[in-house]
Amino acid sequence: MKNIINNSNQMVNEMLKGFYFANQDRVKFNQKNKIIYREQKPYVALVSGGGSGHEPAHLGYVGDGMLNAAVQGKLFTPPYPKQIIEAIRLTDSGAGVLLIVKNFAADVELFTEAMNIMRAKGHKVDMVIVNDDVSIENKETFQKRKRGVAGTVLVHKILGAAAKEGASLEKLKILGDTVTKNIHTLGVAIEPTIIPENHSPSFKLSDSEVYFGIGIHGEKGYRKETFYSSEQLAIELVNKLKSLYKWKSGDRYAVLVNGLGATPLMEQYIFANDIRRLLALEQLEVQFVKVGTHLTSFNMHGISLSMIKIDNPKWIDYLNAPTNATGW
Amino acid sequence: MRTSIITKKIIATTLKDLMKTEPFVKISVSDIMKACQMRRQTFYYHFQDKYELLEWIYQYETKENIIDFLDYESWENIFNQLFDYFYQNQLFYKNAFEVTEQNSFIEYLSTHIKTLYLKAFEDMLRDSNKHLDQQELDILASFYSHGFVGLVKEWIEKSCVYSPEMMASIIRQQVLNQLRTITGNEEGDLK
Repeated sequence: MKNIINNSNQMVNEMLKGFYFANQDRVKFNQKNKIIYREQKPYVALVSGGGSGHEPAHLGYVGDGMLNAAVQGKLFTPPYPKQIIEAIRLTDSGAGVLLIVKNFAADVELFTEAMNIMRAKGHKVDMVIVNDDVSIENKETFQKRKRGVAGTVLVHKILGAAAKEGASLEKLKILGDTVTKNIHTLGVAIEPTIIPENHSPSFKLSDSEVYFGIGIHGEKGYRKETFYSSEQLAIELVNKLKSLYKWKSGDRYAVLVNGLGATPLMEQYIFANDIRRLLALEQLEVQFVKVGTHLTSFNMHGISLSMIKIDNPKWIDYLNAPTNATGW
Repeated sequence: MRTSIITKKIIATTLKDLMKTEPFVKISVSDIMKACQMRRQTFYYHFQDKYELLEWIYQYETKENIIDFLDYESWENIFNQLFDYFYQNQLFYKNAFEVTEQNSFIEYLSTHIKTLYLKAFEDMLRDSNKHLDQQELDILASFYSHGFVGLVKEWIEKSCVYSPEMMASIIRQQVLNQLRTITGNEEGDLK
């Protein structure tokens, strides 16, 4: 496996410098703490982050109408509390800071530690934990895994637009929790992630196989089967989301089709077309659609489908609101 | 030309909708394709005739609702979903049972349901650390799957007067009772 890198220890630093080189017209860069941020605004700041390797998440979502800061950890490893503390300090204008965290044990623990330290120093800080992954934990209980995956980007967008409108920290926390409950995501891989440090695939998959329900760090899925077509993947993911939502004809949804890192846009659009036909067959009212590489599993060849049940038409306005974040 | 499963699903859904009001014998391929706004020729790319379409629905939809969920949901939830599915599609199935030329519904559903019963038995035996002869399990699963298909057929023919929740709950209890009996476990520590 070849990677366009120089030194696996310096991957994140060099990526951040390159990102800043390309986007210095709209973002600032704190190199010491690996923070991409923008200048303070007189409204609640949204801070997200996590391990690197999920680009454009989360640095690509720093921009007007989305995040105020993204804190990057090492590859697939969350940032330290001191980095998160610095991101809170850099962005808090006094209106408060909302942390948007993907539901992985280490991420939640480290962001909570930073939150508590900054609360003790007088900052208003709260946290929304995104847990949209509806693959399964294991085959004994079939409980859903509930980690945070691509749906996190929808939370960034909806809350970003609401924050810019002047919503209070309390309101944003409630909105974030409500929106999160309505998001389900399921992913599928046709090739595993292979990280440069160890060159070993995150799971074994033969050339003819597809793996349903994989996670963004190469977590195992729930079923491998012979791969035939994009349609096969779209049907499987839609059927599983349907079983959870138990939707009725006329229900309103927004859709995010997400490439997992090594998936050509042509394949993403072909898959999106299959989703279009299937959701039309279900007679759902699809009010917003986004297709692209938004939250990746480094170099996984695969795709995820996120849906959000729209309970409030305002959420669609927020999804459509302008932003200059490069990753959206 | 490679066939499209989604096109098959669209054609199938159209037939199912038409069968809510019209007997199967009175529905032509032209009626179906006019209703789904596709060329008549498209039908023949995907199916030989309307009987093959009907058989495909039986085969594909029972697979989608049973086999494709075996690795994703507990057997109890699959039974719940299955009764919901038949409840929602009762008009179609009631009409389809009138078609005397075929009886493949029984064949497909019993095959798939047998797999589900085997999963239920295996899950519960694993939890209770008991072992049962594979042949014995196979015979039991066959027995239950045929009973299940007969039950579902009668339930639909009588317009689903009992709720899908009640049906699923009785089936679930039946599986649990059977397993308690064969493992000699009367304490009820099977899940």
